[in-house]
Amino acid sequence: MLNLFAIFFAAVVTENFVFYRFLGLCPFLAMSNKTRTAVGMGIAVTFVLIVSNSITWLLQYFVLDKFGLPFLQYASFILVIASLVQFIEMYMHKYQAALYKAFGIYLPLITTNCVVLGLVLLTILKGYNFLEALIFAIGTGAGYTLALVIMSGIRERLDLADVPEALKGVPLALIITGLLALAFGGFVGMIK
Amino acid sequence: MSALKDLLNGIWKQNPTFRIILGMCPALAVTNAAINGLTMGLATLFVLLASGLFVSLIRNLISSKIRIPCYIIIIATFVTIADYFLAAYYPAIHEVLGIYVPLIVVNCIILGRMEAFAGKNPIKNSLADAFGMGLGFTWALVLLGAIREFLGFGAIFGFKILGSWYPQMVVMRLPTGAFITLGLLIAMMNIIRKQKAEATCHAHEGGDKPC
Amino acid sequence: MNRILAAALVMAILSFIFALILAWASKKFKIVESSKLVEIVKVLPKQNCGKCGFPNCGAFAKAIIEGKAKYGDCVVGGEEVAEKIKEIMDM
Repeated sequence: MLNLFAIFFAAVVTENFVFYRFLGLCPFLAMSNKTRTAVGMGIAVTFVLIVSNSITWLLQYFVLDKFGLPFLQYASFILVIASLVQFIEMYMHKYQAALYKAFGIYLPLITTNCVVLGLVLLTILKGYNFLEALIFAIGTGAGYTLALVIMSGIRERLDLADVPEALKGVPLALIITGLLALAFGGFVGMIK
Repeated sequence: MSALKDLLNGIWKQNPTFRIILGMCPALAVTNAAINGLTMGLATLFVLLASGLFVSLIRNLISSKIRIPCYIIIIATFVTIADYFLAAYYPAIHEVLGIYVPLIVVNCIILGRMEAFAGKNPIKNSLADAFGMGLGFTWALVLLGAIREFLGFGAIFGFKILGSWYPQMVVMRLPTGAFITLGLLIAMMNIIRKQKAEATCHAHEGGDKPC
Repeated sequence: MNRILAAALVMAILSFIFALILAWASKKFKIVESSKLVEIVKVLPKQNCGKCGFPNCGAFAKAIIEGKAKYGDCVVGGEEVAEKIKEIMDM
């Protein structure tokens, strides 16, 4: 039980996917302008993480390992992720039209979000069992959402500030992310 | 020659890291030393070239509806090859690069160029574009890596430049250093770009184009 | 040789399965042609009275497009509305 908590806590705080592993940065910088879209994006990514991690875990241990085809890992995993995102996109287009429109191009871009592929690969690397993989996915999604929300809160306020021309947009966002990474870096070593 | 223009495009004008702002995950993750940045850049270049070639070859055969999954599988195949190659011949660097090599699959640069260019252009131009983008990405990563290695370790490409008197900036080796360095670099590129635009503007003073 | 065959087979089967699922999804989650839908709703009285047999005007418009309702079913709108619907559907 403590082990599961450690996995969750690490994914959210001490080894946050954005601030520690440099993953999911493109949509992180693009969707963190407003808190509403940030939360929506976080939830969408969390859902994709949970489902794809489950499927790829089964795929790895019941197909790839069983038939001795480890080299198919990258291709088959990304196939799973791409299909899943496509499926979700179609579902949302029909049943959640407003949210679908809000996401725009960034919904299909969850496919290329390194967080998803990074998570499924790390799960196999760490040799987690199915339950641990599930907790890992939930924790990663929560950590990603947390990062997005913190960032959007800051950027919403920055909208009112006087920023030098050259720094506007991505450069400033990167610097802020760096400072946040510094803050989160203070948690390193909490989990042994 | 049009292909040459496509090649030069990716190196400065539309540099993937500093201008289009794509592929940032590997750009920040593996640039704690210049050699790592160089290896990542070259691996990405290989995948760009190989995928670009294949996508351009079969661009007229794939239905538009399923083009993205097709591109992704092609890219994944070549990333697998690159990963195994590095694991076999450069195991030390492969260990350092870790999961960021397979993450080349979802590097937005590659899918972006397949979608925007290789899927619609003849082989020669597609290869030129892929080569230019790959080179642009590589020099951006080497620059970033060199800066972080110099300030963080006092060395570049493993050659110690600053003596032991130098208090190494550990923050440069950490995520924070990466984010801030890239942010400042992009800001600097913006300034350079703006000054270049203004200089060209003044050269055409008296013309019909407003500054 | 065996492994190459196995690899190709696994990828082919996986792709086939996902293609099937996505094909099913594209039918299940199909969006009704939105422009015609909006146009029809525009010409309806929008009282959501239910006399046409559908819960609201939007559902009625959708049923028209799917061929499950007749143009003249809108009692409140009458002949005028039926004409306009016919025009839209013939576009």
